[in-house]
Amino acid sequence: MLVVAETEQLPVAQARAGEPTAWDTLFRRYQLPLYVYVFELVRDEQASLDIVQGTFINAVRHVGSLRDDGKFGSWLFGIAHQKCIQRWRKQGREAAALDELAAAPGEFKDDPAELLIREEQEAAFMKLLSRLPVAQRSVLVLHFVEDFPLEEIARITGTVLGTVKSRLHYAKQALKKLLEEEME
Amino acid sequence: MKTPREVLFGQHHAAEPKLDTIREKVVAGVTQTSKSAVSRVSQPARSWASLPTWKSAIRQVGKPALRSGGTSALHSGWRQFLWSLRWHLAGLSAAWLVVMALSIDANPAPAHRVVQRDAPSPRQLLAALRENQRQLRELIGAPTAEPAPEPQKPMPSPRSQAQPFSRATA
Repeated sequence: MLVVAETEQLPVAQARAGEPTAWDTLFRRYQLPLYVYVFELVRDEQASLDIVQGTFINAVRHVGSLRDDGKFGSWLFGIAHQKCIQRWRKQGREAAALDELAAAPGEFKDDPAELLIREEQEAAFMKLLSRLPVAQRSVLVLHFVEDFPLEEIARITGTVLGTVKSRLHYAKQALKKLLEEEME
Repeated sequence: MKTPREVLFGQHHAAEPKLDTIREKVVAGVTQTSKSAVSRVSQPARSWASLPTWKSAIRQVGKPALRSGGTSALHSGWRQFLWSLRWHLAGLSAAWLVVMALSIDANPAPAHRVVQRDAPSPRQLLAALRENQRQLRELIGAPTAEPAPEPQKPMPSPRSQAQPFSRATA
C-alpha cells in the first residue's frame, strides 16, 4: 500500500512556526524517499547524502516560500532535483543528463503498483532502472516512490506536463520490455 | 511480489542510519535557532537586571563570533580590527573637535562686517579714479601736464585813464 503525501496529515504549519519536533517528523517521513530519488539520479552515495542534507537545510531556511502546505513533499523533491542539476552543472554534464525524448505519449496505466516484481527480479529491476536515461529515470522514480500526480512531477522536474507523460510512458514501456526479456 | 517502491526502499535501506544522523543534525540546528529566537523575544527591552548582560555583550563585540562562512568571518574580522583601534579613533575624533572649536573662536567677525571694513571711502575712490585717468593719458601719449589755466583777460581800465585814439599821435 502506497502512502500518498498529499493525503497525509503532516505538521507543516508547526514546522513553519519553527517547532523542531515537527521538522523531525517531516524529515523522518521523507528522508528515505528523497535519498532514493537523489541516488537514482546521481548514482553516488556520498553525493546523495550531501544533497539530502542540503535539501533539509534549504527547506528549513526557505519554508516561508512554500505557498501550499499540502504540497510540502513535492516542494522538498523540487529542492533536491535542483541540487542534482547544480551538481551536474558543476560536472559539466547537464546537457547529457537531461537529454529530451521527443515522442508522443501513448495509452498507459499510471498505477505504480501495476508493475510487480518478483524477488528474483529485484536485482535485474535495479540494473534496468539504472540503464534508463536520467530524464526518464527521474520521472519514473518520482512516480514509483511517492506516486506524485503528473502535474507535481512536472513541477518538480521543471518540465511541461506533456514531456512528463511522454517520459513516463517510454520509461515504463522500456522497463517492462527489459523485464520481459530478463524473464525469457 | 513487490512493488517498485518496496524494491527501491529495500535496496537503499542501508543508508537509513546515515540519514538519521543527517536529520538529527539539521533538527538540532532548528532547535538552536528557535531557542535563541525565544531568548531574544523573552528578554525585556530595558531593565536593571539586564545591565550586566548588556555590558558583556559590548565586551563580546570585539571577539570573533562562532560563525561559519566566508562573509561572517570577514565581518567579524573587520569588527575586531575596528575594535582594536577604538582608542585611536576616539582620540582623533576629540582632536578634530578641538580644532573645529578653535577655528570658530579665531574668526568671530561675521563676513559682511569684514567686507564693510575693507570698502574704500568715496574720497579714496575719486583719487583712484584720477590716478587711473592720468595713467591712461600717459599710455595714449597725451601731455601729462595739467592743462594750462586759461589766460586771464585784462581788466578794462577806467574810461578816464584811456588814452586818446591815434588821431592825436598821427
